[in-house]
Amino acid sequence: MKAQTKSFTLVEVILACTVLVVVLLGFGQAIITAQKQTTALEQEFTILTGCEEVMDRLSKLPFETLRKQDGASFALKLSPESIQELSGKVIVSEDLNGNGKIERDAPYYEGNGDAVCVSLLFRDKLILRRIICKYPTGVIGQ
Amino acid sequence: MRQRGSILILAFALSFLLSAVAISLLSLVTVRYRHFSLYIEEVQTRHECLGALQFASQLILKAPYQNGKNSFLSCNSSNPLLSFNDVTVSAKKISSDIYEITAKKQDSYPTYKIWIKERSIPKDFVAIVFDDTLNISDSKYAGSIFAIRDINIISNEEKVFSHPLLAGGKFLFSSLAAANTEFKGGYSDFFPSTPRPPQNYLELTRATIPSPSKTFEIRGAKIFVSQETIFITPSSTPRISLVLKGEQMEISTGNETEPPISLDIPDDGLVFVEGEIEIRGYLIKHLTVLTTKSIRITGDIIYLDENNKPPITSEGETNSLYKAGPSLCLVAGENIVYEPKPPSRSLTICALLVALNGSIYSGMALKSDLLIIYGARICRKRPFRLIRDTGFAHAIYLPDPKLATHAPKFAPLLTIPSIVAFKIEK
Repeated sequence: MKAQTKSFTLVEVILACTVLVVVLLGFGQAIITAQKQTTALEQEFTILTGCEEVMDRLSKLPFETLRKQDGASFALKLSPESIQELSGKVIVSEDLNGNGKIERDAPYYEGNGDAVCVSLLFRDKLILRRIICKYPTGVIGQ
Repeated sequence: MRQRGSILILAFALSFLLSAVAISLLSLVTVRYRHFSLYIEEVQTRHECLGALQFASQLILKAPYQNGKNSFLSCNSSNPLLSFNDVTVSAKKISSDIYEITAKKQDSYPTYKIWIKERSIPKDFVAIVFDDTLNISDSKYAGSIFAIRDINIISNEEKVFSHPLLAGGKFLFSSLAAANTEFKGGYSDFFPSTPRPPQNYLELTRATIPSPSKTFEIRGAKIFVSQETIFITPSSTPRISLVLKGEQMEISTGNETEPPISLDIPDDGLVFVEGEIEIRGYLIKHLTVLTTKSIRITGDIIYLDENNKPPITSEGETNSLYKAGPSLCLVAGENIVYEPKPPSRSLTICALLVALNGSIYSGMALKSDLLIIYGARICRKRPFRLIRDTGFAHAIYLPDPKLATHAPKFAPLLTIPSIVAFKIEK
């Protein structure tokens, strides 16, 4: 009597390897995607907080100086290792709702010279926009 | 066979486990990403809403008054006050003097609310100067003083104030002793924003004047009288003279040959003069006198209550027997000038004095003793003396508490929208 062979068949080996490879590839892809998304999140967070700081600085400028900031660039450092990226742009406009028209009457009150809309773009994407007034309030928005 | 089967099951189990870990990891990252996206939207909404609320507050501050109402706040409440991209700001009156201002983007976002208490002339204020440094010299102030820019204390000794001095700018002292004066610098704690005098008050008030029921003419000046308004048009007369006599007033041109016209003072009404006037007398009603040019105060202006008691004594003390009664608001498009006749006499003025575009100053060429003001001074430019060593040797400024709640109907009330609460509703 021949002893019974206990090794795997070729089909079994191929099947097991295929399943393992598919699973490992998926797992690897998941890790890569998660890492990319985390990096993107970190960048977006840095961009947002950076833009908030820029907006804060702009809101403290004298109003006439602020009006002259239209078209100015600003830089943000997106990670501790990276260098500052000069992709930020300031847009200062009396067109408060951004529809390309100055509408003086209610409910827009544009073009009265007492308020501007400051938009902060980074990599050409709108990050923040806010009305900044000539006579800023000392209570709200602190 | 059993061993091989076990190994296969183990391999599949391991695969499922890895798959589960991968799916969990991806789900976690996706949830985090979504959460962060929401956070970004919230930050953007916060900036848009707060900017819109600040703009609305500024519009409220700058809005002119019509019949004692802030025209911005009192507009149609069903429409939004202001619109900024997707953010709308609306106002709702929630009590007699409190408005709720809400900035909202969409239902799913937080709403930002402030409650604004609309105050007229701030209580206990005796001096408010808008565009210029305020000089405080040898005067006694019994109320708060507010200057949008600097306050300059000109004194050789320490001064004592019963109420805070609020300056948007610096405090300047003429001597070391004066520097011991107690003061409160900065006004952001008191005022949410810079108060501004009403901009279009003159034009708006002119537009409210109804058709006259009677017309008079005096040396070329036409006088139109309606129920609550007396409107005096320009004339060749350089200056109209108003003498208040209780319930009546006399209008003259200074020409002794021509008798003055006597009219009933419209209760809580308005006298609108296109030009300059001189004014003095005593009053038992509520009245606003508005001129497009300057107002010259040539004699005492005294309130008398129902028992004929004035609110202040001749020494400048408040009269405890006085029962609050009349109120007078003098509004000049240009300046308000103290010009007593004869020039050396002391002057007592019961009124809220408002110089929309000018100052409130002494125009005398001689030195006089005492100026008492029971009310408040509000001016764009700082008060001053026309000539050095002229004017009043002493001045006493006393607040009229009634101005805070019962200012005359046509007074250009300053809204100091004090923000009483701030809330974010999710």
